[in-house]
Amino acid sequence: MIELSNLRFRWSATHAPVIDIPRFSVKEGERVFLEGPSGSGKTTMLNLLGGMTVPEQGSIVVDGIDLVGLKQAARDSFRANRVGFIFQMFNLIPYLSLIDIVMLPCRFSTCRAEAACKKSGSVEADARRLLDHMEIDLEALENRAVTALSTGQQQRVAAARSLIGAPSLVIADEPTSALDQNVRDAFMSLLFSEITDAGATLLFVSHDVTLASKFDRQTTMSDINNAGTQQ
Amino acid sequence: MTARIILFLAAKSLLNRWLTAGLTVFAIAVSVMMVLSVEKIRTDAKLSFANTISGTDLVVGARSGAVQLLLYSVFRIGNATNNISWRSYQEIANRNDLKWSVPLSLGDSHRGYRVMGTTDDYFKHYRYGARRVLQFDDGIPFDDIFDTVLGAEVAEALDYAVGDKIVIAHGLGRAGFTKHVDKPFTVTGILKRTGTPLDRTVHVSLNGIEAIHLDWRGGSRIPGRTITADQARELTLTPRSVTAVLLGLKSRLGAFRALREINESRREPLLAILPGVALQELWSLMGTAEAALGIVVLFVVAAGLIGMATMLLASLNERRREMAILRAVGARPAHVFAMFVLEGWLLTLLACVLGIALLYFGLAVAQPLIETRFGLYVPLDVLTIRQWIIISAIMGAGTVTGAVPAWFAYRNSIADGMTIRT
Ligand SMILES: Nc1ncnc2c1ncn2[C@@H]1O[C@H](COP(=O)(O)OP(=O)(O)OP(=O)(O)O)[C@@H](O)[C@H]1O
Ligand SMILES: [Mg+2]
Repeated sequence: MIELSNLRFRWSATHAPVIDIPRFSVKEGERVFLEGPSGSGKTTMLNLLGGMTVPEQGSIVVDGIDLVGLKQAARDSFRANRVGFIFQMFNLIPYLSLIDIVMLPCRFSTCRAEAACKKSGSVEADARRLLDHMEIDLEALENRAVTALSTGQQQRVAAARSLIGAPSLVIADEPTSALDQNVRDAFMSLLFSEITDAGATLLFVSHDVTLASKFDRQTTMSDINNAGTQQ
Repeated sequence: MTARIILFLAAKSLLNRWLTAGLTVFAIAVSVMMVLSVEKIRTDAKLSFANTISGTDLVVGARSGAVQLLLYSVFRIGNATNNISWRSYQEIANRNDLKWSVPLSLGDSHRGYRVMGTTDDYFKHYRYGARRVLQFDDGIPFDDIFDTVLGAEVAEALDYAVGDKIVIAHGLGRAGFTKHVDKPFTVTGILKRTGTPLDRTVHVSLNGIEAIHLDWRGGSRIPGRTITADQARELTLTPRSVTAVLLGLKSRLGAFRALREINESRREPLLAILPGVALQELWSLMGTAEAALGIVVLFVVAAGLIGMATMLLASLNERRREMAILRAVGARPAHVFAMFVLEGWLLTLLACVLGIALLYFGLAVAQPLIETRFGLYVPLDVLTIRQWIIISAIMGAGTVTGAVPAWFAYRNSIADGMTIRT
């Protein structure tokens, strides 16, 4: 699913490289736990995987697509079609309803819209299904401003959004760091069951090593990234 | 497909900021209304001026400015500084190149409406608009010295009907002036509406004007001298002077010759004008005022649009997170750009719609006022091509203005990527 080789990235010519990854790969359907100290380049790597930035050198192949050769627009539609993101916090757009937020990826990607329709009949039905699976009580919350949701609820909505339309890769950047323990455990089990259900690959970044045991594989930035260790 | 979601997002985000968005829209709408009404009044004024007189080849008055003569004789704006003596008038009227001539005598009023002394030829020869003849809504032209024919608005506003008696005031004051109470006039006819200053005119015969002034000299009554209405009828009421003369020529080709001859008249300094030429002169006088007004209005529009740019720019920072999320779900930087441009476009569109609504609302409210105060009839008709061009220009300017914050949002979204900044 993910093949990185000889990957080097720096924010600007005057900066030291942030990423120097000789080799890193993730198999299809694998769930990988990635940890590393702050500033070690985790988020930067996820940006590269999502086609948001281009490396100085090396290759990034995700889901059979070599991102390095693609134009910005093609990388944007690659991301829309195949990757779901969950961020640490503030995942929601304040002026959209819960349903609209979850449906958003399908608005930017025809193939994800088609996949969602195939699954539940319509994009909206699939959004409702995912929110239901994420134990979001739509009846109670639908008319509430998204900013009035608890952090745990917000992260579950974000998970539903990342999963709609069967993306092949879900990338989560510290999605649980703002949650307390009970909420975090509930979130993790919901996320896992949906990832399994969707057959997606999961790359999960976290400082919280207690979560690592649930994953197929655990790795640290210092193992894969030479740049971080040199600092 | 993405176009739809971008429009949806732009609309939703504006709705979310309805108060600032609403105020911005209102500010621009007011400027739109101002531009459109300036344009409307301008064209309507020209049209109404141009429509007031047609079929009159020359207007003659005492020597003054051509525009001034046109204004007081035809549009009842301002006053004559001098009159033409009766003998000069007769000399002009006896020219053999004339088809007709109509003398006008101005200077008195009735409850704010100007009284004009003339002959019944006026109703025969005067033309307005596309050479339209004056028509009577009710009654007939005046016959007796103390008869009067009212313009449509005078009759309507003061609720007069044929047979009513009215009293004419000396001078042009609205009320409280000395009145010719002893010699009331009987309404014999009411004219159909023309949309010209005629509607606001009280027409009486020249003899009538003379009769009410028999026992007057200058601005006041001659002490110890009273002549009753019946006595007045017995006297020969040849006017001493008239204010202006309208002339219709047998051949328009002779207009310049007649003009020159009248202007060179030895009896007294006279001025003859071609109404069309004087109108052109009036337009060029108005041109400066129009240009000045146009510039002011332009600044008002610019201020409204700058307000919009400010609103969108101020929101940029707090919306970086939103942009990052959109980027993460697949939006391109171009989509972010389009979204901001669309917001500017939507705000301007709403402002134009509201501005047009305000224009018609304002016109409906102000129409009677403009008509009575300025004698300008502003019909609530559809927008002109020029007004549509102005609206399109504002839409274009609004969209371009939206492109400024859009450009910053675009740059931010490239720099930020999916990094969520708070
Ligand atoms: N937009 C940017 N421009 C320049 N430098 C950046 C930018 N974003 C990140 N960096 C730098 O790149 C390095 C790696 O940052 P990154 O965000 O990838 O770390 P991280 O491992 O995700 O850290 P954390 O655990 O705190 O999220 C840091 O030194 C950071 O200062
Ligand atoms: Mg990070």
